[in-house]
Amino acid sequence: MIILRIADIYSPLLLGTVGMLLLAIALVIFIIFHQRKVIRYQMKMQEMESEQQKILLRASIKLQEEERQRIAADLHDDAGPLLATARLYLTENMVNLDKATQLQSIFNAKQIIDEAIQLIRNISHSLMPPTLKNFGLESAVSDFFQKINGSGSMNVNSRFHDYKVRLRPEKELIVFRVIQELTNNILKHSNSSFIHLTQHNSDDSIIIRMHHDGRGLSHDDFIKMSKSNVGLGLKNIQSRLKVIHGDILFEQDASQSFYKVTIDVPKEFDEK
Amino acid sequence: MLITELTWTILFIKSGTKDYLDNYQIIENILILLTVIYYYYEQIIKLNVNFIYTQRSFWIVTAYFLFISGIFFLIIYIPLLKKEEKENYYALNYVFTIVRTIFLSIGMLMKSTSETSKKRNYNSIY
Repeated sequence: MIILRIADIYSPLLLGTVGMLLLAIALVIFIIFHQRKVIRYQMKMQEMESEQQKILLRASIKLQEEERQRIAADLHDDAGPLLATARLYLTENMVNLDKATQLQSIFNAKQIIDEAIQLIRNISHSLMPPTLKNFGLESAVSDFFQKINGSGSMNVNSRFHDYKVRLRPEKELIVFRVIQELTNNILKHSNSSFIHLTQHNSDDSIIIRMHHDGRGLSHDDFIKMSKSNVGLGLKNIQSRLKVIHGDILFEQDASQSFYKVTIDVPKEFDEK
Repeated sequence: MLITELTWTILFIKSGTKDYLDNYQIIENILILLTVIYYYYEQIIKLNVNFIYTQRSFWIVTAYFLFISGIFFLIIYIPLLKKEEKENYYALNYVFTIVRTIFLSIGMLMKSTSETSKKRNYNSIY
């Protein structure tokens, strides 16, 4: 057995070896702890993400239920009574009435049935706007904006700079719904005097930007609200955009007088 | 490998004697230390799901890292030592060889992470 003498312990060789070894051990320990910390952070992020997914899913289910309730209410409260009234005009008793009254009843029933047809058409249009299906996003947006302009309360206009190749129908519907939701939010909460929508093309995505001069949201507000229990519409916007891998950015103009909302929708190969 | 071979050739041509072997060993150890540090750097950057100490490669690399760190100064000083001093200090080499062997054994006895993931996949299928 070879034993080192005490005097040798302070030799540069031994001191160097101890120093080097300490450095090596410190490095290994640092790497182990750092990696543990990173993995824990990743796990925490994953948990947060799954929690966010759950919130979005709940919001989307809630919205679906609300939409169903609305359609059910429309059918039950409007279409139901209309058809029941039409049925009343067309009872068997009608044969015993004189010709003029018969004609009047038939005319009334026809009018009511026309009304019911119009109502059902409106419900169907609210589910899937025919302009969007037949003529695309540009026409659907301009149609939607014309209706708002018709009320005279706000000046709303849109300008599509380069929209020759249409997005896929399901994508167009999602973008249209997002635009609808954003416009509704601006109408309800911003107190602005105008909304201006523009569309531009980049290499791999289409960019839609909405300007308004009212009270708006910053991106931090949007993130905060979409994570909280309020702001169902915002959560819905987020979950819709997630489906098409889109992105949204809320910001204020450099002049601090306008608010901007930018939607970035990536294009697929056949949409370029 | 190519770098070490090149270094070896340059040293041999330059000195023309076996003395270059000492220098060669120092350079070799420095290169190994640099490679090990690069491995650790990669492990920090890579987004790993498993902890580093559950990987076989970590134990093997650490075995060599500690061994080379331990004997590094011995290699530098050994040409300057007297014969009896050499015998004294050579104990360091034995100690670190034992440390290296222990770490290598741990690494060898560990289950590789790919095997575990395969088993998990099969479990999920059935």
